[in-house]
Amino acid sequence: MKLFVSEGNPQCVKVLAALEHTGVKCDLQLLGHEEKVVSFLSRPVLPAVLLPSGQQLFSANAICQYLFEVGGKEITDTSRQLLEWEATELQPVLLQALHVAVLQGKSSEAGTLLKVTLSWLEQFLSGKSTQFLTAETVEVADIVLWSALYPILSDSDLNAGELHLVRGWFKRVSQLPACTKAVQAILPGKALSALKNFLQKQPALHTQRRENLPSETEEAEHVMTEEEIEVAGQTFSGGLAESRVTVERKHPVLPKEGKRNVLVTSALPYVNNVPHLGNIIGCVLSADVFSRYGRLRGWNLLYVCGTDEYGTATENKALEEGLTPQQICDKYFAIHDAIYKWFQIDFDYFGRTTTQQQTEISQNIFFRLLERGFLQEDTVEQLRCEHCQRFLADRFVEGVCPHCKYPEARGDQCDKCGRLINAVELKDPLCKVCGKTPVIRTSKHLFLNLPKLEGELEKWLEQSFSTGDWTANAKQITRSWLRDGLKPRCITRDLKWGTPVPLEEYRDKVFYVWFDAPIGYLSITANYTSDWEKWWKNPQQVELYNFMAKDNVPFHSVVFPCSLLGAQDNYTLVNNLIATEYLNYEDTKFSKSRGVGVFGDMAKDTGIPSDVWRFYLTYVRPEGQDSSFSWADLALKNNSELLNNLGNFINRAGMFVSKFFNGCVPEIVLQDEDKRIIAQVAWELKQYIQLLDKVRIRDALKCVLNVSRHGNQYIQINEPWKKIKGGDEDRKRAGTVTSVSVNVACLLSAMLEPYMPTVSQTIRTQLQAPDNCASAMLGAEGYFLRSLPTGHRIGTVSPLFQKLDSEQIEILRKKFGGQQGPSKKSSTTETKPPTAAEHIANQRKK
Amino acid sequence: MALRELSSLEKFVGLKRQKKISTQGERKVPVLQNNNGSSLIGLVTISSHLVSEAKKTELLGESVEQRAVVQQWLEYRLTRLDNCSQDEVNIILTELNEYLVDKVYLAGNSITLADALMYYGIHHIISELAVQQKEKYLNVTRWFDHIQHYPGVRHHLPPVIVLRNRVYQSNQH
Amino acid sequence: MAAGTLYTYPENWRAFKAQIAAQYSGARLKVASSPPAFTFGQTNRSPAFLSNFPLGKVPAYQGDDGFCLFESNAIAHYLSNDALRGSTPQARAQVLQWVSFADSEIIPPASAWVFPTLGIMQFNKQATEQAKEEVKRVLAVLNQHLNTCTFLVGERVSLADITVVCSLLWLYKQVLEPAFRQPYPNVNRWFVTCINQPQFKAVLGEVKLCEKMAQFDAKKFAENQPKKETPLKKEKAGKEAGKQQPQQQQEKKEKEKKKEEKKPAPPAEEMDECEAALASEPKTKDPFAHLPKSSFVLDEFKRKYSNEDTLTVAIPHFWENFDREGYSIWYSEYRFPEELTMTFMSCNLITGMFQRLDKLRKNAFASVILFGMNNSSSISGIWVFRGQDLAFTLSEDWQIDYESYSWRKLDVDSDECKTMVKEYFAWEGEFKHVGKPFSQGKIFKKACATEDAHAKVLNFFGSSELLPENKKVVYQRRASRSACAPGGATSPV
Repeated sequence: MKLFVSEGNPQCVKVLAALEHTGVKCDLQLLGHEEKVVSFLSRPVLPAVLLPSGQQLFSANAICQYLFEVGGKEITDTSRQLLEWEATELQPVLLQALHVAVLQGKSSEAGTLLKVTLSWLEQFLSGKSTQFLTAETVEVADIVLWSALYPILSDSDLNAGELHLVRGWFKRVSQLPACTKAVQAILPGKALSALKNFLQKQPALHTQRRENLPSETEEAEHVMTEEEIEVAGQTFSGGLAESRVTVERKHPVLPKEGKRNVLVTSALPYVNNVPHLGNIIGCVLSADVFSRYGRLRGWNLLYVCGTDEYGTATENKALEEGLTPQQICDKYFAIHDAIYKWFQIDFDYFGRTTTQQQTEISQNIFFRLLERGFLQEDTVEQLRCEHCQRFLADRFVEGVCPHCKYPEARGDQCDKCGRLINAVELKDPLCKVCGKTPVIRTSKHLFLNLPKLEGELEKWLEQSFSTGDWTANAKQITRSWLRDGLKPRCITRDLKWGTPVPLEEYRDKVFYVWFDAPIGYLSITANYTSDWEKWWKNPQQVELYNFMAKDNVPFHSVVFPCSLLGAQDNYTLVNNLIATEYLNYEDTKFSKSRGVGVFGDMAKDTGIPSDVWRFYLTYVRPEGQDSSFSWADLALKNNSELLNNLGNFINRAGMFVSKFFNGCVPEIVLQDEDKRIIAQVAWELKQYIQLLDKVRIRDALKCVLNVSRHGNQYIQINEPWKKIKGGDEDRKRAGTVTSVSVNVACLLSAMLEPYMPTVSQTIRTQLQAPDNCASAMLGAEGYFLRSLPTGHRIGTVSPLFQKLDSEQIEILRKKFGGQQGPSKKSSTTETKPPTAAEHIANQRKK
Repeated sequence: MALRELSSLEKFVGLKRQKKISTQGERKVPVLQNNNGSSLIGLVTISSHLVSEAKKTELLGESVEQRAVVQQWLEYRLTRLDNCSQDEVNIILTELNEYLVDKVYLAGNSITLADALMYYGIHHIISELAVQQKEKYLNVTRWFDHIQHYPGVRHHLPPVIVLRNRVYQSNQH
Repeated sequence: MAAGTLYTYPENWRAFKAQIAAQYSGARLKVASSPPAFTFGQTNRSPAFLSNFPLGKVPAYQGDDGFCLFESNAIAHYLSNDALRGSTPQARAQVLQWVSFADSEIIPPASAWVFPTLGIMQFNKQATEQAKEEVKRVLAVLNQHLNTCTFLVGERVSLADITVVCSLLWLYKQVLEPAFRQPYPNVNRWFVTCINQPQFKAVLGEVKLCEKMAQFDAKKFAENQPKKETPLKKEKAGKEAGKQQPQQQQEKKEKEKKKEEKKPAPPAEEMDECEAALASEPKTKDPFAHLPKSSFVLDEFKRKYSNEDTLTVAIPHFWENFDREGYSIWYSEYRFPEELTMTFMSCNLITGMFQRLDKLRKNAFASVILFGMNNSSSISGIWVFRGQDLAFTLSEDWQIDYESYSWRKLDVDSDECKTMVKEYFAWEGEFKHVGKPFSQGKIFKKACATEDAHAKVLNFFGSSELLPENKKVVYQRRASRSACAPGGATSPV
């Protein structure tokens, strides 16, 4: 066994003393402070012990305990308590005091720091009749505490208070030869000065270590001030103001003077691809949660989206299925529409890019760019597949990325490094359709002169970054783009299905999808209302939010804004770019071809309600980093959060009113405890508002769950089901508690609406909540109001959620795990075995 | 936090009657009132006491050496893990990851109080880790998943889903 | 809850699987690994054993309720609880996956590599190198899996862990030196954790991990080889060849064979018998020690019997020297003649019994005869024991067969006795009491050489009674005594 110590290290005194006192055989080695003995610790820690078995000990107290136990002494509860106190209470203060005394020379201040702590020890000793801390003999606690306090108590300059008993004990322990020896070895001379070297090497004291991680610890309880509690109580009692009436949404929604006008777009899904869960959470669902929230907040909000329909993929599909491209688009548009309807995505308008308005607006922008000299002509080398007899669109070429060597880089962008590339730059390109190597042919094309627009872009970006809400990844991606230097982008292609280029020499060409697709936002709005320009050419009044996944960022933050800036037509540019990371599926990625993952319409067939999907997807929304969809986790969250937390609370609250109070909300007599929970809930509501205003969708959801958790605790502690059987006072308490709870439930229905609209509506129906309560409570900074007054009659209460059991989940997981093999090209709704859905349906019948 | 932990611990070691435990001070240190009027203060102290009372002393370590190691990690939990700053979190995870390379449990070859309390203490950190980070601290994740599945440990804490296969190849970090 | 007996030789890693499983499940398992409960090479060759466990291999399990199982994986499975087997269909399949993995991926290269280091197998450089590569591959697979998993299946120890640990046991003990196993930290972690679990420890004891890779043990290998059969040529001479030299060589060979009772089977055969060479044989004390020395020198009689004519020399010698105080004569009859079918099988019964009574030879002599023919036969014999009681009760080893026979002590002076002795010793006579013709006779007097030797003898003399493959009966004795080594002056083994 080997013990490593260093001179001047106060922790070493105790181990050496323990060693001497217990007489355990051990090799001793003196090291410098910097030397690292324990390999896995990041900082050198001494003292350390290497045991014969190879185990290392790095805690001085544990080492002392070990030595004493080896010597035959067992540790008692009191010893443990003293050691714990030493490590958690004494040491932090001690280190600070020593720091102040030794390095800053302020001995008196050091003494003051220690007064409280040492007085506890004094008090402890006063309750003891033994010579030493735990017994009549010196035990491990004595050695440890004595050694820790030695530098302080041996120095007469340091006055840490009267401490008769402490000093008496200290003197007795000092007489031990083991102690004197240890001190001589480690702290020769004056203790405090001997410590200097050691203390200087310590990392900066973490005086701010006591911060709680916000909203991450389960019970990071916000400490309510008395004031907060009072205010909350009063606001609550104020109840719903009569005048607040919700405004029915009237189409077309147009910007209004004096209101906050918010325009929300979600990246247009490509029509041919059935969206999977990752696409859904990345774009439309995120935007939907935010939009519903915004409307509740009273903003004047428009949410548009649609399918992106032009491009070769559609062309090819049309050939395959023997239909025209338009027919294909019609067919798939319906599929997308149905999927989003099922997910309750509340678009104000869900359109398409293949409209007359698209042609008009994009050609208009085009001409304006041309006139202002932002377009240049060039001949381009393009890959042409002789076998397929056509120029290959970017998505039909795959090869090795010239920058990062990723072997599956697509013709326009490398999936791995994200850089935009031209298809001809790919190494070893292959035609994705026939697998042959394409040849390079030249063709005349038009380029958007991004470099010329760079200056203006940067100026605008700076302003947008600073005033708007961009997600961190969006900013980062954009900045790296700019850093790499902008190059002219080709905006035309040799294809048929697309917006035609309105120039004679380019009559066989169409616009490149990434040029005119974002213009789709405008044209779709134009299809919604002829006053579309009030939104899109109105940057003063309109705040534009773009929702997308991170791979779309460059187009929305650079290319498209440049087109609009170049057109110089006072276009509304994006103020807030919200980009998500990737959602993985279980341990891998979504893959339609391999049948891995849940794709849009399949969710419906699982029998799991749309709201549950919405809840889970927002719960795991990939914000700062990639996240994963996991069936097991879905079941878990459903059962623990929805069923046991949320559902349980709301149901209980409602049930109490029904059962104990004949369905009428009882009277409230607020006591301190009730005010406290009201204040807590009000605080959570404020957090929720603050977070959702900043599109922190995931974090805000946690607030909702916190409210429900508080609610459950509140009911648990107050036991209204018991009190209702008691005397008058008790029954009144039960009434208050029930009433407060059911109002919290009402608030929850409001907070839940952006996330789970159906459930939210169900709750409101069950509680017969007034229509305007949601918008009343979510307005301004959020007010928790009493929306259900005394005597209010509620409706029939029933459970909101079903349990998902592991069997069902297993069935589902297997189904989507990729055993099906490549799915059929045209069918998206495959016939599924009804087991899982049936199972769930059967559950519901119970 | 301490109260719920101790309550879970009571269930874990199979103690039937719930003890009267309160907290004191701004650090919310738990205090256990004994029947004879004396009290025990401190999370580790009380936990150890509960374990002894339930006659599950193997949870404190079966040899002198193992007991010292258990003590060491309990101290680590209180002094390094609790209330640590965000920067400290990564350091702690790295240290634990290194330590757990060749170990299934923190002390010896069987589960001890050290594993249980470290699990309670580190839960909030692990549940917030992203998939990449969980893979970075692979040994910690493996240890964590094992402990949270250990019968009787997990009571008051929601389970954290740990994916078995690595999604990210190690050279990406 | 299962309860029963596990037959095996000691230190059998295959048996460990079942034993460890029993530790977890609480099954009450008696381990019969040493005499008298189990003698490897004998007990598992007995007809009783073979009728339950036709392969004659160990480990073999017999429940207290009579339920019999062979194949170590099946036994381990039976003795497990649901937690070990896997609590969901998926888990169960995974457990099975790893168990199969152990058998098909670990054991072949492990055996090929380790056996030469134990001297059981000849060393072949290419085979060993290939085995090493295989082992590396297998460890890499395990290491990868154990990256994210604490145990092989689920979060608890399962039969998968038990099986794979036992399969890796010899590798870790003999050849996986620190440098070799260093690239597989997860496997090491998992292995060390498992063997330190109390249930594993109770069965395996302290497992010391290899410190230096063991190499081919040429010396041990040489020792384990069967000796050359030069003495056999002498046997050809038949009973006349009463030369000392070959006798002594024969005796020596027998002695050596006696010492290493576990024989090295050819490498192609099941390896567990090879490993049996590692187990040592406990010494038993002489059950007859309590009896006073007798004047009748049994060995001398036996020699006379072997070398001289029975009727004219041996039998008179017998009666002249017989010490009725020190010895007794018994008549025995097989109690279930209706169960006897083929004569050669019945002969095996007898020889099997003789085998098990090996240690009795010093103090007993018998002539047992099979009468009749296929499906209509009987067995009876005359036994001469030291002491006045049935010798079988003196040692547990000898009790397996004797209860199948009825025993009647003969009055030494009676005519009946004299007639019987005459008839049975000479294998001639009316055998009035039997009613069936003489078929074959077996003499219990001396330990003979191993099965190999006797098989060779058999072949040499052209035995017409070839045994079916799965009955490993030691030897067949012909009616003529010339098949056996002639009696000699030296004391028998």
